[in-house]
Amino acid sequence: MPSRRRWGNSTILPALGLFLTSLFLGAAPAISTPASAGPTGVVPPGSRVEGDVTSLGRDLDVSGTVAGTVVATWGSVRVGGHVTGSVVAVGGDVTIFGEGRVDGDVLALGGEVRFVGAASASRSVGGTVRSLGALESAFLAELRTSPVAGAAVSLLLLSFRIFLLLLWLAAALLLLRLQPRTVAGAADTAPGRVVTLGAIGTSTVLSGLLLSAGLLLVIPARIGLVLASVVAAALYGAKIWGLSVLSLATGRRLLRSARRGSPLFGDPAAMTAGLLALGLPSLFPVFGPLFWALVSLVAIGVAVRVLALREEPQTAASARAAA
Amino acid sequence: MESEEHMIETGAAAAEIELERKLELLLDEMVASSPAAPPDFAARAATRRPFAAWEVRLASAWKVPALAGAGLLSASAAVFVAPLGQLAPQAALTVWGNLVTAALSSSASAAFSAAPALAAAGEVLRGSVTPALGLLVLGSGAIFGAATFASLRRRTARAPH
Repeated sequence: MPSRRRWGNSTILPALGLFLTSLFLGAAPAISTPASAGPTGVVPPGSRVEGDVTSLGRDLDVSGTVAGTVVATWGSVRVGGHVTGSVVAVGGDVTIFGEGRVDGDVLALGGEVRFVGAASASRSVGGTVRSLGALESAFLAELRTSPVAGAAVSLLLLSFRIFLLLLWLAAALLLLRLQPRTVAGAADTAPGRVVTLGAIGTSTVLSGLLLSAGLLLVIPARIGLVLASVVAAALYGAKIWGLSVLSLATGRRLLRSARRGSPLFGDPAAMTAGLLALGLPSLFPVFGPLFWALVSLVAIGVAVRVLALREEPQTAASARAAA
Repeated sequence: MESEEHMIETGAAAAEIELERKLELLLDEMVASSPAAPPDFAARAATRRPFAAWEVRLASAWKVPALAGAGLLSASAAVFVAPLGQLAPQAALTVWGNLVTAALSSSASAAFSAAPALAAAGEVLRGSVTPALGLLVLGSGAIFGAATFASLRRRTARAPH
């Protein structure tokens, strides 16, 4: 029953990854040092914590004083009190409200920095304020400081999403132009069940997350950060490569009736059609980002599968040469 | 056709083109020696052949991508300009260009400038957990990644050829 075994493998691995990730997140209250247990770590008003405060997988609410740095991983931070060091949220937002004060820097990686009520960047933060999120967040941040800040944001954001789709198309076509045989060969071998490819992609992303977190926890931070960046870059590269191959394979199916002489014949046209078929639905609100996330997982799955099968085309080529 | 051929680069592509010419000659010889084959057999066979990798070097293969790229660029600019009725189109396009450039470049520069703060946060995190837990997370990631890859390789080995 090979098909049953394939189904089993494809679902067990990401499920195991989710289990491992949730296990570490579940262990968060035991390894973090906030002032109270529960879903949110709280530094109550009037209290003072000497030293750094960290949390893993849960939010932090600082209403008292922290004489150190506050770091939340996979959680958000709310500051209404005083932090003498910096505040960093990885995979969450930082909100400073009222009389909240941070003497150092404020950084939100994969989230936003918000100021509520009387709080503001100049009044509430001694250092610099940075947020590193998706490109769309950067666009929205730039939009807020532009002369068109009051215009319909949804349309302006749609415009930026279309531009990003153009960049994806350019990257995929550039790969095809530079490595036509490799991309075309991968598109021949890569197709498989979408569920399987998505599961491989999910497994890869989860193992990348665990690896990055482990590197940051084990190796001195500067080296760990460089290595974690390498892991992130590898995942991003896999997405670009996999999306090119996936677009070509999808486009070939869509345009299989195109004959030589037609403008729709050939791999560049097929890749364009495939990428538009995968990318245009991502422009829709709510459903779009979810769809694009799934496409990204499948693309990473395609890249990993091609990497695992990379000896296959060589074997076929050598067999042809021998014949 | 002449200009397209000038687009073709030398090297591997030239060798493949030579191979195609030889194939056409072979087909012509077959037609000549076989009365059963129709006279346009060679031309028909040539039109049925699949897209070859070297053909990405032909300008004619890029008409649809160029059209799609131009369409996406125009659509992006048009969707941006449309709600800005109070601005002249040229001014709106300038704002669009500046915003897109700023969004792309600010992300890259912010990533570099945030590195010291991230490194400091990493040190804080490292100090707050036991080395055993860090090794456990790292080991789990490595083993899990290797298991994913190994399962794919095993499946390849099992697959019938």
